[in-house]
Amino acid sequence: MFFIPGILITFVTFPGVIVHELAHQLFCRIFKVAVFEVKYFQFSNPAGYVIHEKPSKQYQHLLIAVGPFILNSILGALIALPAAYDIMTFSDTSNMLNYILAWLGVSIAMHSFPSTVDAKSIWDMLKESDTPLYLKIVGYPIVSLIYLGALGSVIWIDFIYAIFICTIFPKLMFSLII
Amino acid sequence: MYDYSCKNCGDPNIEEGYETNLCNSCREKLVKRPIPIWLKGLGILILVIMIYSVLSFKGNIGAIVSYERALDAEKENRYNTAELNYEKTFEKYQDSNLVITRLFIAKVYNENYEDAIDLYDKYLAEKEYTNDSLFKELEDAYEILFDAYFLGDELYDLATSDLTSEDKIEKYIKYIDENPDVYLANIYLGNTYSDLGDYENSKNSYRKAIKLNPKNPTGKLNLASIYIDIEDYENAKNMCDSVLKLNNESVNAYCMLSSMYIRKKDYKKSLELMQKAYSLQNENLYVLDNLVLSYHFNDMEKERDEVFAILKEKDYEYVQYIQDVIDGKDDYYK
Repeated sequence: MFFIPGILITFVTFPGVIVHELAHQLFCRIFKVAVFEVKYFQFSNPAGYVIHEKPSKQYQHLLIAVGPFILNSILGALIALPAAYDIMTFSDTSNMLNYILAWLGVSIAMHSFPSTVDAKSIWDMLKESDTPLYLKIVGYPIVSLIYLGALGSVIWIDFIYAIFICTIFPKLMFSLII
Repeated sequence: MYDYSCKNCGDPNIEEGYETNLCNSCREKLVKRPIPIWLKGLGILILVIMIYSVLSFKGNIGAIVSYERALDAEKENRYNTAELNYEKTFEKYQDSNLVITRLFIAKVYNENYEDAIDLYDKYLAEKEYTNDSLFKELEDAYEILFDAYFLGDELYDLATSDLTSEDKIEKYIKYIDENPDVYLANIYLGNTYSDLGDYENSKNSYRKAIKLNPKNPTGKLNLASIYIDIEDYENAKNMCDSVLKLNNESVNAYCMLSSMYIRKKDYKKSLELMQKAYSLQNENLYVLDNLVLSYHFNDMEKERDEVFAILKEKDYEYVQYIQDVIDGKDDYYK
């Protein structure tokens, strides 16, 4: 384990930040939630953000917050798929495009975890008196996981997750075909 | 006073059911906030890269599916299937150390020793490994191959000499005393005892070889052959089954079992086994040989003659022996 400044990691994996904010924006679009401002990427903290209105339904709030987890994971896995076997299983280094795809896939998947800001907004929503019980049952563990993920990024848990998604997904896909 | 007008443009006609007061038009604009052109451009670039890769990946899909199938087959000790599928993967990934190693291991366990040696000499001899478990598997397979194939000059000269069987036995025993761990020496000694009809000593020699390397099928199949000769069919079957446990697609084991069932006059069972062997390796001359015999004893003359014709065409060395069996001149299956 070694320490690299977070800003440097963010810079190297900037496609993930962009897709992360795009995911928030897309889910807002699905639920017709107004988006007031979007910063897809910037060289400061936070590296990106989406300012949107408070959704009228609580489940929409939850899904907008965890949207990046869904979109970044799927997109990262799909983009890395052609490269996954070549590089990670067969060590085939002949095609340079594979490295671009691997970097893109891992970068995007690395930014799957919602941020602590997202976690805070979910937490505030869950505390409201009219939040349905099922959402609380689902929502509180999600908030815990987000905070754990944020802590875990110190020990590269986001990177480990990205590698897992980019290598396990192809294997699962092929085991379904075979 | 509460402001019920649109927060964006001041229009008093706001859309109900939302937290923020916005008119329909402003809501539409804010919901469908346009994605910047530069981002669309980036997305298109990624899409182009992906399309190109998917198209080239399409060619890889077959190889990857074959690889996964080979892995599954290996887990179930189906080394014939594993070898065939690794070959397909190898066609695409000829630089992959992993694929070449797995192919080599499959060839060894499938008793395809000559191909395994070629592969090793061409691709594996100078390789370095960082994966310890893969290296261990390679070592184990190489040990089987070494035992089954490499004689050394002294043993080779002895095996190919014109000495009488008795003299050979004496020399083999001396060789084994000096080199007790040489697998093939024990096999050759067993073969020589068998030629003389000394089945007890033959069995002992094969048993020693098996003890030296229990994963090598040669000793077990040779011992099975002796058991068949002395009509100890239960032990013969046990030996063949123990080979099939290591590789349940071993055509040599199926051929040996088929031969045993012909001797037992269970011709139907023999045919069943040979059809299985044929489905695994339909160009293997030893398989075709035993298939001819199986067809013959099942009174399937047309099929017998078709396969026999192939063996004749390929100048198979035991054509005359098969002909003798068909003509009833050979006593082995009577």
